[in-house]
Amino acid sequence: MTMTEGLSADTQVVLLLCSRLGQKDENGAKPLTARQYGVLTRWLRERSMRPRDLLENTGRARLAGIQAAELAPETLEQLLDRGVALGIMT
Amino acid sequence: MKERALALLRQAIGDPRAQFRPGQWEAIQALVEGRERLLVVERTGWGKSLVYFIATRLLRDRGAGCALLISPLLALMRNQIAAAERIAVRAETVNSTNPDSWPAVETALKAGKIDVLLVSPERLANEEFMTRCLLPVAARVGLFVVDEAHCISDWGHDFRPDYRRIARILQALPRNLPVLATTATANDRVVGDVTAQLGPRLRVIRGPLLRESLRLENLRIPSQSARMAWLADRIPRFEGSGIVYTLTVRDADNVAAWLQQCGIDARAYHTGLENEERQQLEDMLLGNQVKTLVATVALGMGFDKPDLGFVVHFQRPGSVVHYYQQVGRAGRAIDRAYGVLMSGAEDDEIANYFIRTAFPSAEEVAEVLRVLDAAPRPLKAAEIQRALNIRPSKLAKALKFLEVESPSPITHEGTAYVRTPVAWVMPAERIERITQLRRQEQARMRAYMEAAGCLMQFLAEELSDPEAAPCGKCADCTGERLGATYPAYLGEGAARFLERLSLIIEPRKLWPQMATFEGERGRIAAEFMAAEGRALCKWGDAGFGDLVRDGKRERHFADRLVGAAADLIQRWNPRPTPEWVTCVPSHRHPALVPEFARRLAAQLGLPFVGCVRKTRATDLQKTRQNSFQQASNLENAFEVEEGSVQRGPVLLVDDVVDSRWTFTVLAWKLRKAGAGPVFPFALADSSADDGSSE
Repeated sequence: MTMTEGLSADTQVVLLLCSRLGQKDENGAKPLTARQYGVLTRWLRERSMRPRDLLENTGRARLAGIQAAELAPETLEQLLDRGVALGIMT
Repeated sequence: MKERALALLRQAIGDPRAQFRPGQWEAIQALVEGRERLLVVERTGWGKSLVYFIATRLLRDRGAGCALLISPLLALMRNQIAAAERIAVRAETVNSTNPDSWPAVETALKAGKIDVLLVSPERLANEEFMTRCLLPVAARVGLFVVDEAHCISDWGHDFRPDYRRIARILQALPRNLPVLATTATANDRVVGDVTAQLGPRLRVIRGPLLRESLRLENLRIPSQSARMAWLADRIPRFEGSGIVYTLTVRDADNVAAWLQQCGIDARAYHTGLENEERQQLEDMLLGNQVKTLVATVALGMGFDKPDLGFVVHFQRPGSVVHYYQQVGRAGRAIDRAYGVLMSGAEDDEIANYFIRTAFPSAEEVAEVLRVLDAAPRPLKAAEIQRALNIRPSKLAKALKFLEVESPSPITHEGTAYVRTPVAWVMPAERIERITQLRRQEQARMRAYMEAAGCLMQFLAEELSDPEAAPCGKCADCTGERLGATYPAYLGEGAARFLERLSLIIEPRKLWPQMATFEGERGRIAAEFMAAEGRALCKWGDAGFGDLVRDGKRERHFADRLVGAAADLIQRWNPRPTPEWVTCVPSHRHPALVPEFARRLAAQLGLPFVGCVRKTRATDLQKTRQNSFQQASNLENAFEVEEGSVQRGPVLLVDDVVDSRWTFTVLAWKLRKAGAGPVFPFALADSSADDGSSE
């Protein structure tokens, strides 16, 4: 994995949310399952948002209003904050 | 939030009435509230560390992860770390010296007990460190800080290829991660370059670079001995302690030794010293326990001594960025400090050398890749070295160069190297572009030497400081000059000191009296005489003398001797400049001198031609006590292969010179065979003391 230039913001968000990024942290937030990610994309679509909007302050602020049982806003925020792990891995 | 930030500032510096300096609060706010990417360009001492420590505290209060601080200056950050602790920011460092504590740091990080993780740029190049130490905690980093960010741009000059890796990580970071890049020196070119690498979302905060207490002055003093005399005269009269910068390690050693001889408390500081000793020297300077360190650029970025009284450059640095960085260390918190730039005859030669050798050669790189390609398994550096007979430093440079390429043609497996399937060619265009840039920077420093107006304004304008204006302090603004004068006795003393460092080998003018040498007698014809030569040191002297003796014993002369010989020859600058190198053959140690001469030739960028053969064994010259015996010992002992003798001037290399007969005879034979002027060079001079040195 050495290609960095091509990674779009959407891809970055998908990786942040759904991949381990080399982490073996038992206490850290667990990446989303395919089912959970499905729920999130539906939630995003309903608000005319794209994954990359979660990297902006305004988009991130809307996560607090998420009502799905499968998705805890804190977990999503923790996953999105793994930027340095993403930076190292890609 | 601003109130809380201000309270933290006051707590950190222990001043209840402190206010933010212009730009500090803006930077903190942009990081904490805006999660922005910032480049902060402020002079050292402005308080960049306060920005990231307060931002870290505020981010942590909001539940964010720790800050990752990449800085080449970890050893010097003790004061800043103490300030951080006052606002309950706990900093820990992980580096190559403390692998035992990595697991504990990892545990503490995961438990949220560490607020700032300090890492040196070199660590990011280490695979084991990355996977074992950094990756497990990377998911918990909430702020990414890069100190001395101009290194991202300045690659090839600051010799920090590791920053290319940092740039890559920065490029791959998602935009929701706040990033702070800081530097004290960045002109528009550097800012443009950093912006290009970190993306258009980078916001730049920059303040004035002017140093109000610094009195700049330029002195053109071509000869080294004159500059040394000036230093010996001036330094005792400067208030406080300071730094003398030299371009080479050898000069740092020599100047320090000279100043010591003059009774000045001076110490050399360079990469040749162990880290521990360097740390000790820094502490001595910080505590004013030494008058001056004579340092190379190794006394580097961020060395912060607010009361540094003077910075004198013995030679001209390669760029305005470097000069400002170094001279800017003086006078941060005192009313009067001196920044003197001396320019000598050798400046361009040394600068050109650094430019020339900034990159490994295409051949070296190709050879390394060829060896790795052919290897059935990963190879350690030592194994590559054996296969290639390349100098360790050159190999390290080539490997580092290849490793930070992206995508890289080589990778690590443990401590060994493997060729990756990446097709790769030498980036000739990039190297050419950087080389051109270095030449421009060199030209700007020459222009600074000639500058007609305010010197500080010149520097500030070169660094794109929007507030550049006459400083009212420099030699040009005030008309007060230290001047280039010094007492004559110091000039003579310095000249003698230098003479002792490089010993002159006088050419013999006469054949042995009352005898013939291969049919010759009387005066040696001028056109067949040796030219004046040089020896690196006295046989048995401490320092190089010891190395020469060790080399003879171990049948291999150390790389340091090759470097020192090349330095001496460059300083010596024989005219007409030698175009090839040959050496004195020996029956006793047939490989020792030719092998050394070859390496020396390579270092000088000249061809080596082994065109002298020994036709019979001779006695050791030092066992022959007089000219006649010494000369007759050599009669018909050497043969020059006429066919391989080159036309141009030649450097004739031997390990030890004693009677000078060997040089005399070989110069005569080489010249008769058609060679140009013959310049003898020996590592050591073992002739009896003639009284010229103490």
